[in-house]
Amino acid sequence: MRILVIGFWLLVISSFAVRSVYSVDATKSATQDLLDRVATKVAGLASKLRRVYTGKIKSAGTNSYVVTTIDGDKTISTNDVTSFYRIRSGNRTEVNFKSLKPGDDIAAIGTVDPNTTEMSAKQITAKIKRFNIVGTIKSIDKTIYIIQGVNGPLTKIDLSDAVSLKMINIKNQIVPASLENFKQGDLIFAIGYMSDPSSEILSVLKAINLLK
Amino acid sequence: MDKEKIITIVIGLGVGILAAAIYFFASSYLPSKLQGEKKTTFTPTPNLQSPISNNQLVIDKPENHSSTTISPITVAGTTMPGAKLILFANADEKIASADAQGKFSIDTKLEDGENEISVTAFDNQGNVTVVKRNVTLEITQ
Repeated sequence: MRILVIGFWLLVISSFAVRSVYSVDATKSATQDLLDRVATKVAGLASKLRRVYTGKIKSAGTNSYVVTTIDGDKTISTNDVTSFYRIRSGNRTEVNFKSLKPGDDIAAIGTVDPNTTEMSAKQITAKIKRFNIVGTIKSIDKTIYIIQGVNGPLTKIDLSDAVSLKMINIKNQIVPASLENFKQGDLIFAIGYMSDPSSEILSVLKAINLLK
Repeated sequence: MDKEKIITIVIGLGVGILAAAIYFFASSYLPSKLQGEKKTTFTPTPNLQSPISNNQLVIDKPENHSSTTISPITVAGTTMPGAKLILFANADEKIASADAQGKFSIDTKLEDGENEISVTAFDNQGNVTVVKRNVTLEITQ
């Protein structure tokens, strides 16, 4: 009988011992879970603070630029880990802080301080600003086309140096085209750049006639 | 009280504690399936996605003024069911159609740095809607 009683008590004690071991594991698991959640939150926050500023450099300081963006002037600070690139004719060159000057069009990727909106840049890329326009051809004068934009203004474009002219055929395929395929009244899409801002003519790199 | 009664009480207490301990242990650590499926209640929520009317185009992704390290990316959104779409970007151009629900998904290549992606939708009445997205491709070595 005594053995039976001792056996029962041993069972009770061992069950509590097992319970306490599991409790330690549970605590570890809870801690890990908490750490995972914190890491996820931090990553989410960093992702939210990650931004792109695009615009023209207004001024340059010792290690920062002021850039005119569509949301106003923004300060972009750089540091030892910031990488700088310039892209010309599709080729990229790694450059440095001093290579980028006021007037350059840049895209900066980095994290933004939500209070000051100042960006700490991870990468800055400079290239000639491209403009997209969609509109109807109003008139044609040799290679200069006047486009009535879908969303507003008239734009002069020059198709003489376009490297890619395309159209949509009756099979709904995009195929190569020539200037003759771009006629008055056609709806077109063009990507170009301002080679001379004073002329207000967009030099088109590629265009597509959207009408079949 | 004789010795046998005391032993019986002690045994009874021991069995009770053991049973309580086992119950507590089992409820804490056994997988939920062994304990029976938990009852889940669903609160019906209204479909907040309003139907796209004519001459509308919504781009769900990518976000405007966002960055990525991957090319190609997927441009996805909603427009009129069956509408024709043309995507035009610095490094790509594509034609696509929206499905019966008006949803579309088009992959497009990006070039280094800033890319402006324009998506044009044409409805049956000949209306044209254009939505642009500015996406910067981060240069990775």
